[in-house]
Formats: sequence, C-alpha cells, structure tokens
Amino acid sequence: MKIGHLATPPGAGRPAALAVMLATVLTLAGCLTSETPTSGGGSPAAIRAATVKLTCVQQNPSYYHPWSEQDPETSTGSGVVVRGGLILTNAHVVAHSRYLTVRFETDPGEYEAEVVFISHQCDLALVKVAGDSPADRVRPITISDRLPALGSTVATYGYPHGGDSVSVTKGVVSRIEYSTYSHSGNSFLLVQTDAAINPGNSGGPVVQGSAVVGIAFQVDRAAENMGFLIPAPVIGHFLADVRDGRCDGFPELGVAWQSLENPDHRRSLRMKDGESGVLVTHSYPLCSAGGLLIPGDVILTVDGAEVSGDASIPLQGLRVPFSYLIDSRQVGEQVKIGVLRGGERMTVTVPLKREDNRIPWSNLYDSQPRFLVYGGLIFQPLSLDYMEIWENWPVEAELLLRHYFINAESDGMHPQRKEFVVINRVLSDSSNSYLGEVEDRVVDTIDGRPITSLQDAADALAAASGEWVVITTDYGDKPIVLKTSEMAEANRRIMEAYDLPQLERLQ
Amino acid sequence: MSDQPLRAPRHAGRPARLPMAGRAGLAILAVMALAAPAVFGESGIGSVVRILVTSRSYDYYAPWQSNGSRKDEITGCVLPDQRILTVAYPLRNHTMVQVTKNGQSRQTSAEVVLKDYSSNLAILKVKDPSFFADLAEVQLERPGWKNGRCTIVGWDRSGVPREYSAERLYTDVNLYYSHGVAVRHRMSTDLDRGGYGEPVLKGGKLVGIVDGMDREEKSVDVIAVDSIHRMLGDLADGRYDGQPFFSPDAAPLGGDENLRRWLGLADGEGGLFVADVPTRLQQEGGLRPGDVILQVDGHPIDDEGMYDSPAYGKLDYRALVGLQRRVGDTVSLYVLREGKRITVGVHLQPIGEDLFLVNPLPTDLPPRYLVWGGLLFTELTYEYLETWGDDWKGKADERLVWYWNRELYPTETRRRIVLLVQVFATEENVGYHAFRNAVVATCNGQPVRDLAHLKQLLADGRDHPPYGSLRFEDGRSIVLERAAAEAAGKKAVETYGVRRLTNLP
Repeated sequence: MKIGHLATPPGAGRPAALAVMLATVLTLAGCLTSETPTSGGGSPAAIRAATVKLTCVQQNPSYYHPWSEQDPETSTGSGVVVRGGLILTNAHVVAHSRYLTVRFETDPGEYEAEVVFISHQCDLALVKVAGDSPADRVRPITISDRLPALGSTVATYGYPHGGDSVSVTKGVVSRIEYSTYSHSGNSFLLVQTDAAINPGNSGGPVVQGSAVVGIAFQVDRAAENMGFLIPAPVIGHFLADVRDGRCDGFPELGVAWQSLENPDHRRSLRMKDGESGVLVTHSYPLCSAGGLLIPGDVILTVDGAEVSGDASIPLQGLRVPFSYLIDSRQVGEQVKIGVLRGGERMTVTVPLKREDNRIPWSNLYDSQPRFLVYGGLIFQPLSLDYMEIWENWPVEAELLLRHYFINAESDGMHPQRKEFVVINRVLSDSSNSYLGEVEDRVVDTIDGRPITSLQDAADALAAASGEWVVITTDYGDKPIVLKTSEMAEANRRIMEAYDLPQLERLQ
Repeated sequence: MSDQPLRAPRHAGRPARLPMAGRAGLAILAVMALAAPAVFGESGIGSVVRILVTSRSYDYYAPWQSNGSRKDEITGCVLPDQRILTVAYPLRNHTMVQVTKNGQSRQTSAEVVLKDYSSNLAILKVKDPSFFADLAEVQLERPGWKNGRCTIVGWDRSGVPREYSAERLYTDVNLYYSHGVAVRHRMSTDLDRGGYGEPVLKGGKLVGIVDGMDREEKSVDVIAVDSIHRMLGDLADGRYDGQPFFSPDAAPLGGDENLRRWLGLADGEGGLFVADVPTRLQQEGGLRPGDVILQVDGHPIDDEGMYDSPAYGKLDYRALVGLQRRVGDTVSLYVLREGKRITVGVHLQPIGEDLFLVNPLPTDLPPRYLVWGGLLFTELTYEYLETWGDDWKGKADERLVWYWNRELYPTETRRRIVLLVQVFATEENVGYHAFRNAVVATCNGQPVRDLAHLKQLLADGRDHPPYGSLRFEDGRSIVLERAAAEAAGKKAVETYGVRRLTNLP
C-alpha cells in the first residue's frame, strides 16, 4: 500500500510503496512492428477490430537532473475505440509522449495520434488519430456501467508482448477491491482477474458479452495470475469528467482517519449504541476537508450513507472503503458529511477538490520538475517523485526525508511551510568547493528568512545583498555559506559546465 | 538474532561485524584437551585465557521470558592482581562466565567485576587462586605506544594458544554508540579467528586488546593501552565512574573558507561549529549552539576536529575529554561566540542511560514492559531497535530510527519514548489489534514521560472513567474502560501466557 490517500488506514504500519514495487504496469518496453486489417459491432470480431496497438516514444523527466529529461524509450500498449473515434487506453501507455502511433489489426497503416485527455490518477487516457482515421470506420465498443459479477468470465483483448494481431485470453473475475493504482499511487476500485495479462496488454479492453467492463492495466509480479483492470465505474468517472473538455480528476476528502471498532472507543466519543463511523485523526489543510473537518470528529455518514466502524460502505453486494463515495463524485461537487463533534451531531458540507498536500504523495506527470540552481546547490521541493530517485526509498532514502515524507503531514510538522525545500546535492564549482558533501538537506532559512516554498528560496536568494548568503538546514551540522559577489559568475560557469539550459523552473 | 554484532561502533559503516564462534568452537576445544602444555616466555602467551560466556537474550515481544541462551568464546589476558581483561559487549546479558587456560578443558568459574560498555572493556575475577598458578601476569605498556610490529595471542585450530603477527597501520579514535571513545589501532594481521579480546603484545607487554576483526581485509581493531590505563586509573579508588560524557552536536569546519570568514575566524585558527548542545551539557556559563570550539583544555582544535596528540599525532577532540578527563572535572573550552573569544567550562557527568532519550547502552536487564488491556508497552532502546537485525536503520519504523538518529535528549516531559509494541488480541481490545510500534504521546491527557509514568497515569485513571485513553504521535487513539481493560489483561495472562503484567516496580 502506498501512503494514505484519503486516509492512512489504522494499524497499517509504515505505508510503504509496496504496490509500486509489486505491481508492474503493462506497457511493453522495447518496440516491435508489423501489420493486418477489418471491423464489426459487439461481436468478438468487432471487439478485435476496435482493439488497437499503440506505440509510444516516451521521455520521462529526471528528478535527479531536474533540468534534463531521461533518454527516450519506446514501448507498446493496447487501446480500444470508443465513441467519436477516440481511443481509450492507459495513461501510463502515453505518459510523457513524444511520438505516438496507432495500428489497427485490419489496416496496414501506422497512424500518428495525439493525447486528447489524460488522467494519471486513474491511469486512463483518450487518444485521437490525426486527420482521416480508421477509428472513425470502426464500430465503437460500448462501455458497461456496472462492475462485473464475481466469478463471471471476462475476455482480455490486446497486444501482449507487442505482436501485430490481437490476443484474446479468458479468465474469471477473481476479486473486486479497492487498491493502489501503481501509476499514480492513488487508490480506487479495481478488479482482479486470472486471465493472462502481460506487458503490452496495458490499455486493452476487458470484455463481458459485448461491452467493455474494464481496461487491463497492471499485474502483481509477486503473485501468479493476478492481473488487474480498471473497472467500468472508474472509466465512467473519467469519461464524465472530460465531457466539459477538461480533466479535473478525482476529488479527495483529505483526512486521515482511524476505524472505530471498539465499543469503549465509540462510547468515549459519545456515540450512541448502534451508531458507526470513523475517527478523523488529521485533516490536511489544503485538501477539501481542510478546516471543515477537524481531528476528533467522527464521520458518521457521507451523503446519507452510513459509514461502518471499519470505514466501509456497501456497494453492489461488496463492501468498499467509504472513500468510494468521495471519488465517485466529480471535482467541484459537494458532499454532505454527517459528523459527531464533541457530542454534537451536525452536517458539514464539503466542496470537493483534488488532493493537494505540501508534500505530493502522488507522482506528478505532464509537468517538468521544479528546481532552482544557485551557486551549484540544487533546490527542489520534496515529493514522491523526489523520493523515487532512490530505487527503494522506504529503506534507502535519507532518514530525514523519509520521516518528513511519511510523518510531516500527520504530525503537523513545520505548519508554516507550504512545501519542504530540499537541497538535492551540489554541482561542484570553485565557488562552492569548500562545502564538502551537502546532500538531501531540508532548507530552514536563507539569510535568516524562513523558507516555506521553492519560490521563497528563489526570492531570498535573489534578494541576497550582504557579503555572504547563509543557508541553514533542518538538523544540519553547520550553515552553508556562499560569497554573494561570486554567485552571478558562478551560476554562469555552472550552467556552462553542467549543460544547464536554465537555472530555475519555479512553476 | 545470533549473528548480532557484539560491539556497537558508532559509525556502522565499518565491516567487522562478525558473529561469535559458536558451539563448533566448543567442540574443538574438547578435542584438543590432550594437547599443548603452557608456553611461557617473553611473548606473553602464558597470560592468555579463554572465556566461555553463556548469555541470554530477551524476547521483546514476550518480555517476561528469555529468548533462549547462547554460548560464545572470547579471549582475555591476566593483568597484575589476577584481574582478567577482556571486551565488554560479548558479556551482554551474561548468565555464566567460565575460564579455561592453556588449551585445557577444565572450566573455572569467573565473576564479572566490571563491564564498561562505553569503553568496551571488562574485568573478570576468578575466586580459585590456583587457576593462576601456571599463568603469567602481563604488564601494561606505557600509554602512547605506537611502534610497528607486535604479536596477537589467539588460538589455533585446535584451541592451543598461538602467536599471530600484527602490524599497526594507523591510530584513530573510535566513537561508540554510547558516546564513549577509545584510542584505536587498526592493525594488519594473520589472526583469522576470534576477534574479541585477544591481547596484543610487544616485548611481553600489553599494548592493547582486539575489538573486532575484518577477515577480508585481514585486519583487526585494537583498543589501545591508553584506554586500558584510563579504565584502571578510574578503578584505582575502588569506585568506577566510567567515561565522562562530552558529545556536543559539533561539526568540524572542514576548511570551509567562506564559513570561517563568516564566523570571523583568524588565519590558522581552526575549530568545530556547535550545532546543538545536549541537555546535560547545557550549563550556566557553558557551551551554546552557534559557538565555535577553538581549544579544548588548551589544545587547539583544527578544522577537522583534531588535536595534536604527542603520541599519535592527529586525534579526534573527544579523546581529550573521554580519555584524559574524569567525571566531576570541568573541561575548559575556548570558544568563539558572536565574534568574541571566551573561555567556558563544562562540568562532566558520567555516561549513563539517563543522558539519552533512546538508551544506547546495554542494560543487562530484561526490557521494561507493561501489559495493560492486552496492549504491550515498552521503552525504545538501542537494544530494541537491534531486533530488526543488521539493517535496522532501514527496516525499523522510520519514526523510531528518527528518535535514535537525532540523538534527542530527555526533557522535563519526556524521559523515554514509550511504545505500544503489539496487542494481544482479545474481544475487549478489538479495533486495536493492528497497532504496532506506535509511539505514545499522551495518556488521559497527560504527556507520557516514561513507562513508569504511563503505569502511574493508568493507575490514577482507574476510578475516573473512561480509565485509559491513549493518544499516539500519529494522531490515532485508543480508549479502554476499566472492565474491558481488566478482562483483556486477564486474558493476556490466561490465553497468551503473559506471566506478569509488568516488570516495573
């Protein structure tokens, strides 16, 4: 489980990025090529015709060298033609796309395409072939509006391990649960199947009868025959979201909570017999419920639905976390939370926003890393992407960063900080050669001014006018002292020596 | 847990984390009983004894019981007055210590009279005077010995004492987790077994004892005779104070010219930047954060934090206090504070567990614990962190490692970190079963100072419903009423075999 979205479940111990380590997204890296032709309706032949292969040259940002990008990589995935000639696929298949092409099984051509909408949170994207598109001649496949039944048979269509003709595998719906989408680290509803799903299947339709019930997207590498699909309700949310021409994503309540399964615990909170709910342990200030829900509140209902002591709600014969009631809504909508606060029952209306934390707990996409280089010191905000510079950050990353990343929000550390500014490392230059090893230190002040954001750091450094620039860091051993008059020249030298196209990207 | 390092070097990057010889060693010892008469002479080989240590380990998840016992073999040598000198860490939680000599199998009981974990030195005594009849006493070389070649007396494959050659490579200061220091020689050697307590001799005199071995590098660490002299000197009045504590959070300036100029240091002046001062060193007229330590007891400190020792050249400044000062002394520090050069004094106290929020020192006692409502509480210690194994810094909960690593010091409201280790699941404590290693912040609204305080707060809450209400640092809470807590406590005893609900007084 990744760190708590909506909440850190009680007793989860350390929220390690297990899902990221175990689950692998299914894009097939290393490109392949070839061709074939045809199309139909909701029949197997029609589904084959609507199942396409995407080849994408991706170029990912580098959080270690935040001014540059990683080498381009080519990978393939699958997709399915839905309404309007649009192709539905996974976000991770087309993320950071530099060049994207689509092939149809029954058409010899390779068509350049572009990403129209992308939601990294739920790992879905809509892609369109430019100009005259074979997708317009393919009958679109309907997307179901329900979860498939447990134990029912599903068929997965796609291009596993590349290949040029559609592969179909069958399996049953093994499990429906709420778990981590490894592309973003967010948790949503997902469906597990034993149908063979392999790299290259990513983005391919999973079909029951004549309708798509899911999009294949990840597997658990540590287990056998555990493939996962993004189920119809999540796809439906994404399609409804983009209808207005904009992808707002999934809202997040933004509280940490604890289950209330102990009767003494419930009594101490003045809950009535038979009443159930969960206890708010922290409310993230920038999120939807920031300032509206407070620690000590008991969430009794969400839009009238009773929340159980184990934090679940019923859904089509299953029990899922109550956060489903939040993330099945759209950003901008409101939810009514029934709250018990200090013995008083009240309704709190929460306008829904996307998750927003001082330290981003989700991977950021479609944006380049923010940074600032000054005198060779690389300043960056702390984020999950930054932590993932380490291959296994929960064990390997600098302790201070792990501690902040995991506990700063729940413990309310440094409440004045809007973000945590890290000095990644120092690019050596004659002006900083005395510094020795400065790595992964969190900036506290610059010239006596508390640093609460990367912009703050930029402003403080730009304003430096004394003989020295003095930077202090949290639990740092000694201040970092730079000679102000040398900085302009040093910055020029460093740009040249390290091939920096720019010294900062603050937004 | 049998492959635990026996020493606790402060800088864990070093290798030399070798497991002790185990049962196999004992078997070999039995076989060689027929062999080898004692060898006497200049070499000092006749002063070496084998020490068989039986020790127990504690089960932190069931602290009322021992986790079994282990046997280790280490080495010692006989000092004047029939005192046997060896290293302290392998004697952790010892239940029985026996000694043998000259490759004989006959075991004689020994008593541990001193175990100093901050210096990693121990002294044993043997009641039976006849044990020493055919053993030679070894004299200590004067402090500051540093000639090249010497001999290590260890054991050969069949358990007979044997000389190994050794050569000093360099000398530095070893900083233990306990904040104790030792002058250490790194030596290359052909010694290939043991690594715990073997005497290092030159011309029949003791120049140090082995404190760890790196088989790959074919090297050993040797606690220099200087540290042994300090210990014996401390012991001379019959009362052992141990090393004084002097460990400000100070960083060498490292030749940072900009920092030096900003601080206002003169050319040729070196020093240490004091980032933080532990509670116990915060004294009136003492050290303050932001100070630059220029001299310790009149010895100039350079930009690497070193002073010029007459014998060894550059050594870490802490050796000036740890080895040359005694508990109760006042060390004199010449510091640069806000542009002024002034002398301040720090009154020295012994290294003891009360100095630390997370006790780094072995206690030789079972972990303190309390079971309440089926919830098992203990205090965070180095020994508890060690239960995660060698990689505990990565594996243990980062919050716990954080407390350790920041070396935070006790305050008025917090003397120890109190942890909910785990829950013995019963019907009454349902909802809390998944709690593990949760740091307790408050009990019934009061900040929890230590485990005894938690026990007191719970006892005080007995007649004040809801009895026990705990809040954890991560914001979670636990509430149990008296009836449930007592019922769950009873079940912990009946179902889970918790023998006693606490070992606190």
